[in-house]
Amino acid sequence: MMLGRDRALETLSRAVDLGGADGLEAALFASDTNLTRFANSYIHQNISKRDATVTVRAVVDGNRVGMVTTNDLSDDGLARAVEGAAASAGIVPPNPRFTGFPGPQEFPEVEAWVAETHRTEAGFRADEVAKIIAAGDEYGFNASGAYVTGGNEVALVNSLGLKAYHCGTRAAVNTTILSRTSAGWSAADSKDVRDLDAAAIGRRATEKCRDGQHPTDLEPAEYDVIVEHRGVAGLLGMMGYIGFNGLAFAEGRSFAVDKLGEKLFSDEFTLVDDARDPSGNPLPFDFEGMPKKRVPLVEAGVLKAVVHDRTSAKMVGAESTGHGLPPASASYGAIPMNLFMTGGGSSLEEMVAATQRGLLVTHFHYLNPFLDPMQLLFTGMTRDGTFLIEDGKVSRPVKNLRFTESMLRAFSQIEALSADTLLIAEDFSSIRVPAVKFKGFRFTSSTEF
Amino acid sequence: MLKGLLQLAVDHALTYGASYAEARYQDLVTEDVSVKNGAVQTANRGYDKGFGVRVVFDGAFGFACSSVLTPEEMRRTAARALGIARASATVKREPLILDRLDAYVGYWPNAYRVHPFDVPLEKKADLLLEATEAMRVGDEIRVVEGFIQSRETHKFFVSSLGSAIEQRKVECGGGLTCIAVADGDMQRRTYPCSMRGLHQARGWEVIEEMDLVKNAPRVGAEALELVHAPEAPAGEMDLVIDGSQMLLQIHESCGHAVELDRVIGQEASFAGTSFLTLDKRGSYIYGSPIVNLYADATLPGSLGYFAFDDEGVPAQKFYIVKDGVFCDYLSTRDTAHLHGGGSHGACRAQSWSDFPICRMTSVCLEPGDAGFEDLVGGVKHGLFLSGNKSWSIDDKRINFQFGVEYAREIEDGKLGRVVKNALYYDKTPRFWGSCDAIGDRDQWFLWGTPNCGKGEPTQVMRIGHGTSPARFRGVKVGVAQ
Repeated sequence: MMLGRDRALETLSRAVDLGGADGLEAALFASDTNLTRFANSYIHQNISKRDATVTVRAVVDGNRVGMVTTNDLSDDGLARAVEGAAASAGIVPPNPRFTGFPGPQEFPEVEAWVAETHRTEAGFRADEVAKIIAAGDEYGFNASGAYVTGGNEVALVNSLGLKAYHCGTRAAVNTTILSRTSAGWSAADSKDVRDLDAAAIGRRATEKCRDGQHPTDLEPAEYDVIVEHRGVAGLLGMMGYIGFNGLAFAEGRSFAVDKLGEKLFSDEFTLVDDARDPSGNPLPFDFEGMPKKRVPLVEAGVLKAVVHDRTSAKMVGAESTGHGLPPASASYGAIPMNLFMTGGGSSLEEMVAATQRGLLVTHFHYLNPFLDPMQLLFTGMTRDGTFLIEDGKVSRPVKNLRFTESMLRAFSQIEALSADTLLIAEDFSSIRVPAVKFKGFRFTSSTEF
Repeated sequence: MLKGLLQLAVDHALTYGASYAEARYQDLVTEDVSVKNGAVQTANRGYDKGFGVRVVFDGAFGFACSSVLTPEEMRRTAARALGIARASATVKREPLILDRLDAYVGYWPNAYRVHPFDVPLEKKADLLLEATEAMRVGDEIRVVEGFIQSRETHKFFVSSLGSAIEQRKVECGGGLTCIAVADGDMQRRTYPCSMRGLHQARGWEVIEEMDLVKNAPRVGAEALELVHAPEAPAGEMDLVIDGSQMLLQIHESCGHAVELDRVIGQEASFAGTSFLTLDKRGSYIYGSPIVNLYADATLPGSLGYFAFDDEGVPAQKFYIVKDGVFCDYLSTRDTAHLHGGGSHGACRAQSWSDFPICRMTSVCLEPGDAGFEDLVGGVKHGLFLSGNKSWSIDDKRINFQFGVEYAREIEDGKLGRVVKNALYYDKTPRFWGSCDAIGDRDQWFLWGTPNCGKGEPTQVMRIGHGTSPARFRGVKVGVAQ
């Protein structure tokens, strides 16, 4: 239930103006989500979801903080939230880590709203889904997936005079095409629904599925591996969450501790977090109301920085980089949410041609980064199309494999990057990445399909 | 009042052509208190309410929801759901088959001793501060954290079959985390469970029974032990796995694998499918003959405890695996015709805004007859594993790999030194087939995981798992670095 700029800021100001504490902050998160899911080549779930919540934080005595979240935006609902937050603040012990609210800030102009995306109807999504299903039908394959369109907004007002508002749209489509023995997958994301070519997505996934039929066993071992864009995005997202997180860094839980300025990775690895870049999913401020800064994280293999919110910045004597999370999630720390990995000069085809013996991986399933966070030791399964490359050619499909690998090692063994990059977006976050060829990636077990 | 409002939505949908309609209201009040390193991190109350309308038109589903509770919005939302169902119907193969269901009218609250909202916030914060500080048993303890979460959910369900079901559920949970950092390493130990604490559908008594303050020094000491411990071995050996890890083993390799929507491909593009295909029901050897797994929505205190699921089907208990043989699925009204005999009552939605889907209720392992000493005593060379650290399984639920927080070597039937970064991996039927001893009823405990994700957009669900420790033979552990 999106409110729009004026009504959003007016609603939050109404809450903050109620007073009753030394300081008040009100944050709005609202979304309209329309999602069409299909499986077995028909639509089985089709939803429209509208919601808006306000989180009120109240401060007394400088650092005693209470919080209430509500989706009742009526006068009574807001009054209850403010009173409840103030009452909690009056009771709880002080929090010495609390940094106070920021005053008014200057934010860059970013454009993330496409009205056509927000206006998309269920009938349009059904027609687009039908194109994907038709692509699978050509081979008698079974289509599954989702087509989502919608908008979201975030707004902040506090008693020090800060006011911030941002809205954006998101359109995304993904499909898994299944044969009796294989799966193929493809997806696309954009702010603008008109950028999505459902028929092309359907064709690409269908071709993957066709080429992946009757996979054979492959011994788990160390292989050179070409990971397509979505697989790379999955790895980087998790590295951001546990590794480039300012709080993990401040608490000694990150691989980056005592390593800033060191050459840890390949020359080819450059990673930046930039919420202002229009080719991502732009966001002008974080959820504490701080301006988003461009943060080079890795430059030509040298670890340059981690990102901070106000809390972790204070802990290490730095400044916030504008990476604070919403109040209810703030305990996770600061997370880079707009990652860009620089591409190279190759293409998927050229990377395959330059591989004597290796694997081509479509993407990963069930990644987990918690085995050994200091070593960035991750595990996950390949999924929806894994192929053996021999003598510069894709020779045959193989059954899925599990990798267990340190990302410190993997990203120090980059052999090639694709020139093209792909955007993978969620509400308020995105990753733009190339496909990557890693040398000697460790696959540790196999499965039966 | 509520029934009347919801009935407006149902009637509106029927008037304009729906063959079936249901409206579900949900009001959730939450309270989260957390502390970290001697300070209160969170003191948060949450209020969330709204309703969802699910309709069938021309053999297809449509769903819409809203947080605005007015008669006009009820009708508008029903009309939106109907419009969406019309669009769904343009891309369908066969009409939806909803299993036959009787109408039910009733009120069901769960039992609790002390409502957690009646316990003052200060008391919760003080308890957590005391418990977390008690974990600081050495200078290398870098982070001490604790939390308590309390919830009360009020649901009202009305359907065009004539059902009008009201349910209230009080839940409470919490836990501790301790992180030790030394020599470039970081190790974590939690209590009582690493999967976001222990939660049950009971009151404040859940927290009291945990005895956080008493257990805290041990948790801190184990974190210190871990950070100085040698690496766990790699190879093939016997395992004794405690309940705090068994719950996730059951969750990932059994619970998700028997969700019938997944089996027939409804989750294929996201969470995946299952190796337990329809032809395997009643004959497939899932585990050794001592393995008995069941689903139980009637289990008091469980996060999966309710009287009716979110499409009005009564709660049930049934075997999933009996004497090692796979025998049944978790199912919903739209999938029940695939096994006959009616829906198994596993259609659940965590929020008013969720389209209800097939979810676990309480998926449990029946206790065996082994004491803990028997489990360990029967291992010549192996590991004792406790608490989850990492989890991953393939998209048919066959190949899994789990890392654990805390491990101890077992040599000649005795627990030995602590080792860190232990992990094990296997294929589901081979693993359960190697189970040769299960802990007795005295060791059986009802765990709960509050954040199981499934569906698009991701819906979280609160699920119960009861289990004892168990022993498994010849499992692969570790990965050579």
